Amino acid sequence: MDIKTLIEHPHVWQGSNNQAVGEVYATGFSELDALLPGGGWPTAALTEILLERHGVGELSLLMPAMARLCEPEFPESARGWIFWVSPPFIPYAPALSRHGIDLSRVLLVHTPAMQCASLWAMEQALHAKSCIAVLAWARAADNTMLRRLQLAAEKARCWAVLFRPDAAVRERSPAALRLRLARTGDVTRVEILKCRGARPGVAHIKQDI
Amino acid sequence: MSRALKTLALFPGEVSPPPSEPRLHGPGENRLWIAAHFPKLALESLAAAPVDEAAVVTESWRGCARVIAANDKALSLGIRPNIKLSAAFALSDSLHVLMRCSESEQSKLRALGEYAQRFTPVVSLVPPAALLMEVSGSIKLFGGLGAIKHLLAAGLREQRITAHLCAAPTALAALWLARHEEDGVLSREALVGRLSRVPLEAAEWPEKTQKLLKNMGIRTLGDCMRLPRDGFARRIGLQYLHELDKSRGSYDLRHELEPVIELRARIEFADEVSSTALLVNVGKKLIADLVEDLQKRQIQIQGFDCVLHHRDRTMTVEHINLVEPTQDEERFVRLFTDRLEQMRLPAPVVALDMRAGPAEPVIASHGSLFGHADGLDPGSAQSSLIERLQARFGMENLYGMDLVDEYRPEATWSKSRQFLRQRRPPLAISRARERPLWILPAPRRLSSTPDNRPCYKSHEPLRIEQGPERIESGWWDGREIGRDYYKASSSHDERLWIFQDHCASRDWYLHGFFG
Repeated sequence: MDIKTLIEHPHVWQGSNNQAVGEVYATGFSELDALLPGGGWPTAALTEILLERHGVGELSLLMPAMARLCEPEFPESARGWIFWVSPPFIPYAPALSRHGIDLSRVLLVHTPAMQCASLWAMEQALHAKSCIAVLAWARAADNTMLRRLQLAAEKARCWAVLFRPDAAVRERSPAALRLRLARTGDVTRVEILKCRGARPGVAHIKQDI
Repeated sequence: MSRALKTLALFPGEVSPPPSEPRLHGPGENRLWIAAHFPKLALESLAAAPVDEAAVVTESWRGCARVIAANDKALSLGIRPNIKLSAAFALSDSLHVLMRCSESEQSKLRALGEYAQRFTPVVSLVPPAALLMEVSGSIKLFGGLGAIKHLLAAGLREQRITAHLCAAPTALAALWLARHEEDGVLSREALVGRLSRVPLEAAEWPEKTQKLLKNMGIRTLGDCMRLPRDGFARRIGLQYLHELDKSRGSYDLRHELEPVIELRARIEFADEVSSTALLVNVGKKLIADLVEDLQKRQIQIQGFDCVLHHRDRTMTVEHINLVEPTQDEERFVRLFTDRLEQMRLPAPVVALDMRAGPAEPVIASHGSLFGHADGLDPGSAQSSLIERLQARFGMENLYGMDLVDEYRPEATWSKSRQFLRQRRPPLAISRARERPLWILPAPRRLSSTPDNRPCYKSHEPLRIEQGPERIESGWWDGREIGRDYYKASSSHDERLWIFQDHCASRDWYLHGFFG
C-alpha cells in the first residue's frame, strides 16, 4: 500500500484537507469563507445551525448564497425549489425578493408540531431530487435521523440546512458542518463547532440586519 | 303585424331578443352523433323475462300499476306501454307480469355503453334508456356511417336488445329523433324541418311542462320553436329553450355528457380487518387492478376515492388527489400508503373500495431518446413530492409565494398553489423599502410601559433604531390601516419590526423579525 492510497482511504482524517470537499456556494462573507473548507457552504451536505432565538441574522447569513442559486446564470440543469420546511414564522416575500430570491422557486410547508414531521418532509424533499436547497426547522432530532438526512443530502447533491435550538450543542451530530449563532450589537458571532475538512473556529460578521 | 315579427324572430339572422339566438355554425360543426334508443330496455334487462309468452314490465304510478314495456307477444295482443295493468289484463288473461328493476336497467345500459365504446371513445349514457355516441372520427375507419350503424345494430341484436338508431349532426336531435323512431338526418339544413315534426313527448320533459304546452295547443317540437323566445323562456323555462337551441346545434355538447367509464375495484373481507398493514397490501392489489384498467382504456385520472366500509357504521371516504392526471401505479400506491398510515381507523373494515375520479385520455409525450440524466423525469418527481406533502400535511399547509402590488404589509404577498410554473420578473415595489425577512402570520400585540413605550418579553422597553415609516391604506375595502412602523431592537439584540396603530388605539404590535 503506497502513501497515496493510504491518504485517500476514507478512514484517514486529515485536519485541513480541502480535497474531500465538493462544490461549495460562497457565503458572501469573507470572514466566514476563510474558515470554511473550499470557501463556502458545502452544497451536497447537511449543515446544522444552532440558535438560541430567532431573528439573530440566521436568514441574512444564507441570503447571499441563496440569491446566487436564483441567478439566471446558474446552470439550468441544477435548478429546483428552495424548500422551507416548518419555518417558525413566514418568510416575508417582499424581503426575499429584495435579496434577489426568485419567488417562483420558493416552496413552503407547515408541519404539525410532532417532532419527526419536519424531518420527514425534509427527507422526502431530498429524496425527490427536485430541490436545490432545503431549509428545515426542528426541535429534536436523533443521531440516526440526522445521519439519514446527511446521506440523503449527499446523494441528492442538495444544500440541506437544519435549524435547531441552541440546547442541541451537547448532542452528537453527523452533519458535515455545524454552526452556532449568537448576536451582540451589529455583530453576528458564527462559531464553527464542527466542520468536515477544516478546524473549528469563530467568525465575527458585521451584519446590518 | 307585431305578432308576426315576434314569430319570425325565432329563426337565425333576425334581430333577437334576449335570451339570444343560437349560432348555427359554432364549434362542433362537423360532428355526427348516433343516438340509440332502447324502448324495451326495462324488459330486456331482466334475466327472467320470458320470450314465448306475453310479458309486461310494470311500475306503480299514481297508485296503480302501469305497463312500462311489453314484449312482442304482448304487443301483438294490443298491449301498449303506458296503459294500466288492469287494462292489459283485459286484453290478455295469461299475462306474465314483472316488476321494473331500475338497477338492472342501469347496469345493462352501462354495459351497452361500454360495448358502444368499440366504435368511438365519445359515448355517453342518457338514462333511462338511451345512449349517444359521437362518430365523426370513426367513419373513415369503419367505412362509412352505414357500416357503423349496421355493425352496431347487429351487435345489439345479438345481445337481444331492441334498439332504434338514428344519426344527426347534434346530440339532442339524434336522441329525439331516435325516440320518435324517425330516420336520421345528415345535413344541418334539413335538421330543423325534420325536428319540427317530432312530437313533444320525444323530448321527455317533465309531465308538468308537457301538460302546460299541450294546454297551449303545442303538439310538436316545431310548434315550440315557433313560439316567441322570451315568452317561452319565461313561461316554460329557460332550460327547455336551451335544449331546443342545443338540438339545432349551438353548443358543443361534449362537456355536458357523463362519461360511461366508472372505474372501481372492490374487495370484501371474510373477517373484520383492523390492521393497517393488511389494508395497505390489499389496497396495492386494488390499485394494480385499477391501473391495468386505465392502461387498457388509455386514460388517466387525477384522483381517486378510497372507501372503507365498516359494519354498522357509515363508511370512511378518503379523497386522494394528484397534481396532474396520471396512470402511474407507483404514485397511487405511495399516496394511498401515506394516507392510510396516517389515519386512525374509526372501526374495523369489512370492505375496501377504490373509485377512480374523472378520467381523461392519455396524451403521449415525447420521451427523450436517451432518457433523462438520472432516468428521472424532473417534472413528475416534483409533482410527486408535492402530492406526498399535500397528502400528509393538507392542501392548505403547502404553498408557494407571489408578490402582490399592495401597500398593506400583510397583503403584499399571497399564497400560490401553482407549483410548477415559470419564473416571473419581480414587481418593482419589492425593492423600494427595507423589509424584515420574517413576518408573523398576524400582528401580535405588545405590552407597553406606563408612558406607552413597547416591550417584548421583558419589562424593559425596546430601543427604536429606525422609523417611523407611515403606512396608511385600505380605506376603500373596509380593512383600513394606519400604522407607524419602526425597526427596534431588544435587550437580546433581536431586530424587531413593530408598529404603533394610530387609527383606533395607540397600541404597539410586533409584525416581524429581521432574521
